[in-house]
Amino acid sequence: MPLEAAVVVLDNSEFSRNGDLEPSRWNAQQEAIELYINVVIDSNMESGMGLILGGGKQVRLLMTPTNDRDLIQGQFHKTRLEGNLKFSVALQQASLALKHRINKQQHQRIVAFVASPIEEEVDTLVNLAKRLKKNNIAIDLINFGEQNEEHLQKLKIFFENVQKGSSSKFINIQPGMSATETLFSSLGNYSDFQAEPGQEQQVPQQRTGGQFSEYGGVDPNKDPELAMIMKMSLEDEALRLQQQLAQQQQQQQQQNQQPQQQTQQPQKEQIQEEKIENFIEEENDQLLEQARLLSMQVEQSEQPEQPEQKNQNPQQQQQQNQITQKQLFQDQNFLDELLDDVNKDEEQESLLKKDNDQSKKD
Amino acid sequence: MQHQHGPNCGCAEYMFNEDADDLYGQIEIDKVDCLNETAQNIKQIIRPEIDKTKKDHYVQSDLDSEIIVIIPFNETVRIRQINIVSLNEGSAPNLMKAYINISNVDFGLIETPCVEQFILSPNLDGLFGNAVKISKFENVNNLILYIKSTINDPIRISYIGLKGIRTFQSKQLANTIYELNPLAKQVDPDKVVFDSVC
Repeated sequence: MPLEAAVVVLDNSEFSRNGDLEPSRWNAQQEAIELYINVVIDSNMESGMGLILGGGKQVRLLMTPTNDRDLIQGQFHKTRLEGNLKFSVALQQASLALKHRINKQQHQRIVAFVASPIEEEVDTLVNLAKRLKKNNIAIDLINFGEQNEEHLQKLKIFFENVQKGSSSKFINIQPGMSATETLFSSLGNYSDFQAEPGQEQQVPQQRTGGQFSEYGGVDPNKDPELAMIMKMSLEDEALRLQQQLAQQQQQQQQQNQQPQQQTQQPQKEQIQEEKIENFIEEENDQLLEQARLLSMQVEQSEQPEQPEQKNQNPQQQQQQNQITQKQLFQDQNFLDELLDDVNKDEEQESLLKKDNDQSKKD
Repeated sequence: MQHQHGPNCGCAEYMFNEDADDLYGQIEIDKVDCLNETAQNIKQIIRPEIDKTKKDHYVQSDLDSEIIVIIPFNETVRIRQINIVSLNEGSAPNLMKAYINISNVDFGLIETPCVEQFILSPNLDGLFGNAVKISKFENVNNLILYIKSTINDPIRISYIGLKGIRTFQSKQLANTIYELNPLAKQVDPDKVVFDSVC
């Protein structure tokens, strides 16, 4: 609740007719004024807010710092959109208005709405910024819509030179964004920010933005019980998430094990191959898995009929015994052998069928 | 023309005060502020008197060769001497104006009459402190120094020191309890003479 005199510099240049911020940049500025009235005037009765028109034919002081909100809102009817924004002149006039404020206890702040490209050079801007900083004036720089690189660079340099402590802010509202939403979240650091006059403080999480994040945004000094409850519920949530994560990991491991169980077929001679099979499953190569299954099924059916294959299998097993499991999978030879095995089996199967047919015929 | 006190005038008022102590312990370092400095290091040049010749930190003026230093105290003090040490001769200030007990300071202050005005010498070793008019600096709760140079730009100061006498009194809100009937039992149980009214 700082005691402040804030002078708002409006941009009533032709650029404010631009509709990239719905419905126009000028309307967005009007809505922003509403927010600022709530921040400044409603937070402290003795704070004041003034208005200056930065565009038009001349820079004009509409209102000296006052705490009467109706006076300020009424000024909008008198304004016309014309001319260009005279940035440095407007800011100098604002600082003069602040210098002659009646209540010297109020901290000085200038809120500059910029909706058009700045004409001044960087040197002038830096000089102006240093002068404002020298007089201990905080600046809120709000850029409505204009996204030109050079323009943003100028604003950034100006802001860096005017910043003292953390009381100044630079907010860039891009086309398509809602001005009020952006301002609402950016100005959330103000202690008594309200969306509408008289309304209870909304969205405490956004406002404090990390100040009391441990307590879910509630100041433990103001409301110790609520703060403790928030803290406990946050901790519970964190625990629950951790357990969920652990469960998910377990499920993944189980899934890996399941295909191993499914393909394990009780075969004495194929224990070695089963181990390799499990290994393959872990690597999730479905093609190889199918080939493996096929080869195993074929070998199974042909075992009682063809002792030759049995000889081949132990040979393969012996070869594979020598190499480790990982190497097996990466070993191209092994993969080739596997495929050959499948092909051979198919060939022999077809051969078998032919023999059978021939024998039947005979 | 009124006599302006300087390093060589020899006036009795400017004799070094033997009973003045270093007021470093009475300065509220966290609330010290400086206007128109390039970097925020005013707190590093307020040091105990022992370190007055150290040149590793300094305050530099930003635009125009002038700065305002605001020094609040945690109790009321009587200032006897103000000591300014500059970094080097090429950036030394030559003028200082002192004000006391003013809140909400900005550069508009220099248009008002000051409590005392000083002409500064480079004072690179910190041996010469500017003695003040004692009567004007009696009850000081915060001190404002406007330091500038008419020839050098920018100015760089490496130490600001104050000497004076403590009063051990401070400006605080009085915490009072109002009673209709004093209850001796509550205040000091040992002193109760009559336990009950007969």
